[in-house]
Amino acid sequence: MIQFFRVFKEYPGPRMALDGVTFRISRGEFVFLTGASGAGKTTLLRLIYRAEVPTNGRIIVNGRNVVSLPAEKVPFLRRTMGIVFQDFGLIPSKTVFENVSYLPRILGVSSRALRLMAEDILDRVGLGDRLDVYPSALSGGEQQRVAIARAVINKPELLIADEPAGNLDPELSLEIIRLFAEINKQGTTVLLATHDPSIQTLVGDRILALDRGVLVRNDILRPGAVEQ
Amino acid sequence: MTILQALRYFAGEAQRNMRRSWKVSLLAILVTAVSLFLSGALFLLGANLGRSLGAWESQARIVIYLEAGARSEAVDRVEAELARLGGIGGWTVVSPEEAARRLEGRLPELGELLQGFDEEPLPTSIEVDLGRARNREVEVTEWLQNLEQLPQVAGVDDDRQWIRQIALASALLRAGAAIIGSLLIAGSAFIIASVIRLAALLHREEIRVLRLVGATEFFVRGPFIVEGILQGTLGSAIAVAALSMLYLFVERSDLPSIVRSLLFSSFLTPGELLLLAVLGIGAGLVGGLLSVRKTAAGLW
Repeated sequence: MIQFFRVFKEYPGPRMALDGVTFRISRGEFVFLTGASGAGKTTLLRLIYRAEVPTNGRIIVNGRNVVSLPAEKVPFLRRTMGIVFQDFGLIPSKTVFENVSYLPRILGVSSRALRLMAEDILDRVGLGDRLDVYPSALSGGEQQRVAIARAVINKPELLIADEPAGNLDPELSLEIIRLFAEINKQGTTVLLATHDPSIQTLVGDRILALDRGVLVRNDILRPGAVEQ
Repeated sequence: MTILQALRYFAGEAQRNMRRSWKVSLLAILVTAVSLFLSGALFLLGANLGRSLGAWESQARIVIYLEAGARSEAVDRVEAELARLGGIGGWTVVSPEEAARRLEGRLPELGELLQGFDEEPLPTSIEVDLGRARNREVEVTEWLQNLEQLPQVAGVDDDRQWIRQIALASALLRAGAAIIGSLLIAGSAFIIASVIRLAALLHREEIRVLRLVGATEFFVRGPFIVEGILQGTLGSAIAVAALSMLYLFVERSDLPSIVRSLLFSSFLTPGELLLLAVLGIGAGLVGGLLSVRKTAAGLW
């Protein structure tokens, strides 16, 4: 599903954000990406969805070399994955329904089908009755669930989350992680970055740990769960 | 998504953007409307002046005044010259009595001035309709200069001289309208671009999110281009409405009839109105395109 071959990313300064990182994530895995702030977690995720390109190395996502992917093809790569951010990334001027249905809408799904899709996915995250409210009317946990609904509405093969529970209290964090686990059970590969050690061992199949850009841990948590 | 669905989506997003930043959008619309109104008003004046000129040119005539007391031999001499020029539409000899009658008819209060002279106070004159000879301007001018040298001729009034001056003023007005109009419309396009760019900058986080969820540049930038077109269209509509109101106001006002007939004898034709609308829409389109250039404020 995702393969990194000796990936380096250097920022001007110079500062080495990723230093020869190599790993492989198989289809259907639930992988935690851990490390302290500044370890390179966000950079690694941004490389996967081509928000950045590496200084050196090769990155294969779903059989596609994302490093050499032409810029105009990047949106099509991103449509195969769902992305969840720590700050939720919801558009405040759009309702929950509009936020969630944006991608299928631009893909040409009819208004009626859009409504059904949005209702279904929001039901699954427990917000089926909040379609027409604006994000500002929701709590932090609810906003993050909307962001997750938006990320998975198009049934992506890969779900990437960057500190999705970082702004939430421990109870809500757990709820969000369980939601990711449910999504993973339905076959979606999940790569979730977090610096919180308390949630890492709850549901994950594997753990990747970064320390100042170097991959220092690549451990299988549940043998047998990972399809090699 | 079909093109029609995409356009509907762009129009919806553009309307939403305009509602969110309604003050700056209104500013862009009004600037476009004022620019098009001024350009249209200048064009209207130029067009009406041009139409009046056309009418005057077709009626332009030359009046040859003979020396006082000129006899029929003098008339014959001038008529011979007219025949020599050739291509003339026709001429009318106006006797002193006829000239006096016309003057009394047009300006009765001056009638008394013509009383008590031993001789006829007004000279015999010949009114010439140039006809086809109107097109031989240089030749006619030289011919008139020679005619003025004849001892029988006291003077010549040539309508073409003042028509030429008004034609020059009209041409300058039209050129000025074209230059000022172009500058104003270009200015509108830049203001529309700036307004849209400002709105886009305010919502750059949304643009970032749209890209991350897989929106292509077509979908990210399309609404901004359509927003420009909408602003240009609304500006055009306001300008056309304001021009129509100005025209109706002048038509029904107490302005001297010469002003009304000279400058507002007719409104812009549907084709000219369409051109004005197209210019406004074009300004909006250019503004929208400028706003989404890759170099625009590092946004794209």
